[in-house]
Amino acid sequence: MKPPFRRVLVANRGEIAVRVIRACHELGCEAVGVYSDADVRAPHVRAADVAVRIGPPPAAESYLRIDAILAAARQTAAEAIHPGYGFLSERAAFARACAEAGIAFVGPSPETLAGLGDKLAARRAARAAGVPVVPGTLEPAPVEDLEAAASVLPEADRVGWPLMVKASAGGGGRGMRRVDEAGELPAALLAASREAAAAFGDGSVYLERYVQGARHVEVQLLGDAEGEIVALGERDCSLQRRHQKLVEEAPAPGLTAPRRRELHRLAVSVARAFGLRNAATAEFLLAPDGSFWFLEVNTRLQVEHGVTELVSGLDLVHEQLRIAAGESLSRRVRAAAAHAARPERHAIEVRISAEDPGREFAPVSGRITRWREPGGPGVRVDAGVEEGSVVGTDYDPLLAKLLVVAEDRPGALARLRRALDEFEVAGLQTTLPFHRWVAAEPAFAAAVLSTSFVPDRWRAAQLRAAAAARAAAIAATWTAATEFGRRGAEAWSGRPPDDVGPRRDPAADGSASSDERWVRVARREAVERWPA
Amino acid sequence: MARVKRGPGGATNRPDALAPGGMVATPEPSGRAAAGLAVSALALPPPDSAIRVTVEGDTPLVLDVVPDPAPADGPAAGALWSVRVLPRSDGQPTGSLRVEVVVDGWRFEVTVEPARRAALRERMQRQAGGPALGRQVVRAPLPGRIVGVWVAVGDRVAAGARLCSLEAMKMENEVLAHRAGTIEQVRVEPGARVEHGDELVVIA
Repeated sequence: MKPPFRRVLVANRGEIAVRVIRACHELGCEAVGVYSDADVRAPHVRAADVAVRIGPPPAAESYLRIDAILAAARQTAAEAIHPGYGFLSERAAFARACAEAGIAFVGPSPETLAGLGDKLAARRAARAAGVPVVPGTLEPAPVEDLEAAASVLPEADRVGWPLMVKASAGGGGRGMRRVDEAGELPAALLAASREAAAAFGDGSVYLERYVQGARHVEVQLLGDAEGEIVALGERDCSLQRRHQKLVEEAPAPGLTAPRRRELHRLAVSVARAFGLRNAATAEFLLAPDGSFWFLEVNTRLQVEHGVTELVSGLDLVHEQLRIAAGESLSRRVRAAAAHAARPERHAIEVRISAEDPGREFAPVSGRITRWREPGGPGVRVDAGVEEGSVVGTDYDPLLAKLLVVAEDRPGALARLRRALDEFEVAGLQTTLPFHRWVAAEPAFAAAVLSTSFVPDRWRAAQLRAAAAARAAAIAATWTAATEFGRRGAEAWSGRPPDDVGPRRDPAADGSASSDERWVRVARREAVERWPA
Repeated sequence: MARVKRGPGGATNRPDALAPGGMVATPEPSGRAAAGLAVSALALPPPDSAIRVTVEGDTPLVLDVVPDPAPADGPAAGALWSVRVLPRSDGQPTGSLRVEVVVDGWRFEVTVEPARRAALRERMQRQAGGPALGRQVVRAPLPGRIVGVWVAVGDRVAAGARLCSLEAMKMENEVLAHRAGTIEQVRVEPGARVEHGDELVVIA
């Protein structure tokens, strides 16, 4: 098959840049990477065929600079730009600038981005298309000052408490707040508006009912230039914390084929109202009574697109690139859409982030001193870092995604537990302990899902304290065996790398030395220490 | 729960949950230390082989551990960990060593030193007079940018008062006073970038 483009610029960093570059290479396209000064040695730069510097570390001076990215595309004669997710991926102005420069933007049209990027416009259009919308306001709330903000209180009472304050230009949890009582609302409106103005340059906020006990489900959509739009199955992303997704799976557990078809049909009708082309995701709440309520459409590839790929067998980035080159939806896409309501596999993704699950998932920085990914059947890791990478706080803390697929959900969960056991990271705290807990949590196995699953059940302090007691014993054992690192530390560091670091312990047989049985490592090399 | 048995350190406590070789000497063999509670004042003099282990955290875990040279029953199967030596930090006692321990994905910074030496140091500190209670240094709970400072030097604040707002990654976070007092120092201004642990405000 002919490559859709000769050369594609990937206007992103981290795991998604690596993932898109891989797809480019598979299709026979050359990939152009871009990087800030913080990413000179990043894996996505090495993966690219050629890379262009676009500025200093802050995103506003590099990955968010439309002019710098277009200059890089012109300089390298790139025919298309794939924006990944985040950064410029949903900016209509960027898509328009690409079109004016004669470069194909791999995503929806500027008009669709502008229309669906305004969540209020999307809510109005969805309602017009006959799609049930989460009850709330359809016009921006006044946020000039506390007094003006207080004027929405009567409307808030109609929406019902508790409610959500959301940014019209929002995404990724920014400018979003839950408000439980009237007294908190004016201040919450102002804070959310300020956050939204800083993040998106648009401080419009609106109110939406908080649906108790709801699940978050979303539908993967693909559309072509001829106006054909298909749904490729749904994902359940209920496991969230502060509106940040932590775990995603496909298909959504517990839905019958007719219910799936209904959900997919609702998603396609919203997308049709905006003439969707390329990839997007329609997000819904699944209320405890089984009803679907439209939330918003994300006009880009999602972080969690991989679970849909593993279940459908498609490569969504391949399809995105082909659609951007003007091809219509392929036979394989139509076939996958036809089977979307009767999925035959189950996939789960967990996000490995540089966050401390013991400290409210606060972002952490530091150097990754050890990074070993799991492998084997049904396991996929999309990573943007490697051993030695320095993780700063300039960008999103997502380091990698671990995805597993199996013939059913229990099989996928077992595979997830196995893969998490194999995943080794040292040097900074990651979300791995949280995911180990999820994978072993009976309520997750029983698919008792809701967006309050994590706040209701995650008890970090207990788990961390138990691990701290174990760490104390391990430290003492190691200390004794090495005489405070004086003896044997060098010898151990001289072992083959595979023998250094954690492993599953063999049963004690009394013959192996205690060193071999319990002690791993001891590399003395100085490492960057993140602040205690 | 923990099985209790006699070890070289007298009364020792060997919970199943502990990793290999871990013997935790507690004032009473109650098993509380293994549950993650800090045991900071140890009544019994530590045996020669005991190691003072301090697991850093919001509530540091301080234990005197007698490592078992040859554990009769092996390590907890499935435990995953690694140990790595960290560079020295300021204020670290001489003769101690800092290591990173990663166990089941949790990462800890741990200081280890001979328990005898730690006990001696503590006795000397007690004789020199304990640390004065008083000033509270409020530190940045996470790295980010200060978007607002709500107090000035000399302000009296109640416990729970808003001190400043910190924008971290995607959210605005309020930094609150943990106790009442007078603002002695304000170390940041709006727009400042802070790292985790940086001093923000000092309450006297």
